[in-house]
Amino acid sequence: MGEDLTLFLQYAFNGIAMGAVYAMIAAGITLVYGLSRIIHFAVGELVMFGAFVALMVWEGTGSFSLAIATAIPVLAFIGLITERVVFRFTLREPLTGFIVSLGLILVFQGTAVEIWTANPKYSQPPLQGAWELFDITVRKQSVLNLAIAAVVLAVCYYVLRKTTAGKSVRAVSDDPEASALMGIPVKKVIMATFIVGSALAGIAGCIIMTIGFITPYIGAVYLLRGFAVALIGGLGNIQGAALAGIGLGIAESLAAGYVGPGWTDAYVFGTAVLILLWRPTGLAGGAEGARI
Amino acid sequence: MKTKQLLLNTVVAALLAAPVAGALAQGKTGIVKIGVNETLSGKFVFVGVPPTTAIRLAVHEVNEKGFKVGDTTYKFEPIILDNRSEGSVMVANATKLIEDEKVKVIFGPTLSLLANQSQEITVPANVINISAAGSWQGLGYLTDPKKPLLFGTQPRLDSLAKIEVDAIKQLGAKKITYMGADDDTTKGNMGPFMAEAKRAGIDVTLITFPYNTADFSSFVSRAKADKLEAVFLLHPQQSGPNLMRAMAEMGAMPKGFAGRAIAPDAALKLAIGKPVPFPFIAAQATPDMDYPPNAAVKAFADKLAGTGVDLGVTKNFAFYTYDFVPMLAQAMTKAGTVTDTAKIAAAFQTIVYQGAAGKVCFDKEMRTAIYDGAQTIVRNGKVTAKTFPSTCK
Repeated sequence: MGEDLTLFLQYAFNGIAMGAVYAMIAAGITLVYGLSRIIHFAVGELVMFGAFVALMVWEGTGSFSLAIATAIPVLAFIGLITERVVFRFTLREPLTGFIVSLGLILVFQGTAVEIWTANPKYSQPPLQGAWELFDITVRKQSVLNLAIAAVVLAVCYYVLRKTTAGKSVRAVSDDPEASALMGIPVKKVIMATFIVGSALAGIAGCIIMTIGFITPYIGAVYLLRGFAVALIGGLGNIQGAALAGIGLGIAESLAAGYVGPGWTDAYVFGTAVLILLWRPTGLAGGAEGARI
Repeated sequence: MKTKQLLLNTVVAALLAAPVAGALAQGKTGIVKIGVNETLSGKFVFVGVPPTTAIRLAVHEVNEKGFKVGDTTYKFEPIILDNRSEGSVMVANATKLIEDEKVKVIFGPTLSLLANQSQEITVPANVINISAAGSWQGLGYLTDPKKPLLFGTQPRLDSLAKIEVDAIKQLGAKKITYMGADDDTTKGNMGPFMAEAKRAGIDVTLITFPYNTADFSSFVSRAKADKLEAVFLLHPQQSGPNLMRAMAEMGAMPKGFAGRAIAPDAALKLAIGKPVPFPFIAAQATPDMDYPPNAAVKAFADKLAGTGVDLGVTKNFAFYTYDFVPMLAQAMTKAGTVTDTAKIAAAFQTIVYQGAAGKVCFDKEMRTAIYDGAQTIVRNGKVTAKTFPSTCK
C-alpha cells in the first residue's frame, strides 16, 4: 500500500473512532427533538456529567464496565428529572424549552465545578497501546470505543424499528395527537426519550473520559458537533445521525491532516452549511421528512 | 458620689482616647486597592487560578507588616474579579476596576488573548497593567514607549526560547514539530522559538490544532508521516498528557517531548499511568515547584499547597505574580506615591528583588521580568532539574 493511501486510511480510521462518539450524542439530540421538538442545548453538559461519573467509578473500582453501568442510570435519572421538572412544562412551546436548556447549561456547569472543581481531570483508558494493521496504527481504545458506539446505535435502531415501544416512539414522532387517540401514552413516551437521550449522552461521556482530559466546560465542544451531526443527518433521524457522525469525524481528521488543523472547525461547519443549503432537512431527511 | 462619677468619666475618656493615641504613635494608615482580572472560571480557568492564588498569598504577606509611603503605612486590598474566560466580561471587569474601584494597578489577565484586549483599556486610563501574557512581547507592547505602564512577568521570549531549544538539543532531534492551539498565544510566542531553532540548525514544522482537541491521533499521525523526531508543545499545557499518550501508543516522535511549563507529572503518570517511554523536558520561565531547585522555591511551594487550592498542572504560573506584589509595594515606597502611576512604573522597573523565583528584576530593554529559568527533565522515570540563573544584578 502506498504511503499516501496508508496515511489517508490512517486519518479515516482516526476520524471514524471520533465520529462514532458524535453520532451517539446526535442520536440523543435527535430522539429528543423528534418527539418534543425541543432543541436540548444542555446535552453537552450531560456528556460532561457522564464523563465525570464514569471517571469516579473507573478510578474507584478499576472497572470500565461498571463505570458505564453506573453512568447510564445516573444520566437516565438526570434525564427523567429534567423532563419532569423542566421540559414537561415547555412541551407546548418548544422554543421555551430551548431557552430553558440554555439555563440548564449553567446549572450543570456550576454543579460540576462545585463537585469536581474546574481543573482538568485525566484518566487512563482501560485499553492502552495499538495494533499495526497494514501500516495503519489502530489504537486499541479507539476500537473499543467504536465497538461500544456501534452496539449502542444498533440497539437504538433495533428498538425503534423492531419493537412495540419503538413503534410507539415513531408514532408519537409522526403525529402525537393521533397517537394519543390510539391509546399511546404520549407523555410517557416523551419522558422515555429524554431518559434514553440522556443515557446516550452518558455513554458518550464514558467514551470521552477515555480519550482526553475532562473539565466542567467540555460540553460546548460536543454540543456543537452533536448538533452539526444531527442537522446534517436530519433532525429526528437516527440513521442519518449515525452516518453524519462518522462523516463529520472523518472530515475533521482529514482536515487536521491535509487542510490545516487550525481551520478544522471552519472547514467542517462550512461543509455542514453547504449540505443544509442543498438539503434543508438533512442528508437522510429530517423533521419534515422521514423521522426516527 | 461626685468623686465616683468623675472617676468613671475619666476611665471612659481614657478608654476612648487610647486607640487615637495609639494611631498617632503608629502614624497614618491607608489602603491601596489593586485589581485582579483573571480567568477564574470558564475554559481557561487553569491559567488564572495559580497566579490569583499567589496574589492572595503575597498580599497577605505584604499586609502583615504593611509598606511605608511617606509617613503612611499602607496595606493592599485586592479586588479580584473573574472574567469567566470571556472577552466581554474581561472588558466589563477592567472598566469596573478602573472607574468604580479606582485602582491604579491591575494584575492579569494572564491569557494572551484577553491581555491584548485588557491593555486597550488600561493604557488610555493610565493604569499599570501587569501580566505574563507572552503576546505582549511578540506584539511589541513592552518596548513601546507609548505603553510605559505595561509590565510583563514572563521572561523575554528570546531568552526563554534559548532554554526551550536547549531542551530540543538534549533530545537530539533535528526535525521537530512545534505544536500549539490555533490562537493568539501560539502566534505571539512562536517567533523567537523559530528563530532560535533555525540558529541551532533544527528543522521545525508548525502544527496547530483546535483549542479543545481531545484526540491527538490525527495530528500525531501527520507528524509520524512527516518523520518528525520530537515535539515541542507550547500550549495548552493541559493537552500535554493526551498528546504524549498518542505519541506513546502510536510510536511517533520517538526522540521525545518538550514543552513549556508542563508539570513533570504529565510524563510521570498522567499520560499513560506510568513514565512515558521517551524523554520529557519541561522548559520553564520559572523554577518548578514539584521539583524545587532551592529552599526558597520549596518554601513557596509549601505555602501554596497550604492554601488548599487545587492548582493543577499549571501551578508554576503562580510565579508570574507572587514576587511582583512585594516589588510593587517597594516601588510605591521608592516612588513616594500610591497614585502617580508614571512614578510608580518608573520605580517598579528599577527594583531588584530576592524572591521565590530567585533574583527578580526587569529587563532594561523591555519591561518584562528576568528570573531563574529551569528545565525539568524526566528520563526513564527519573526527574532532574536544571536551573538557568537570573541575570539580575
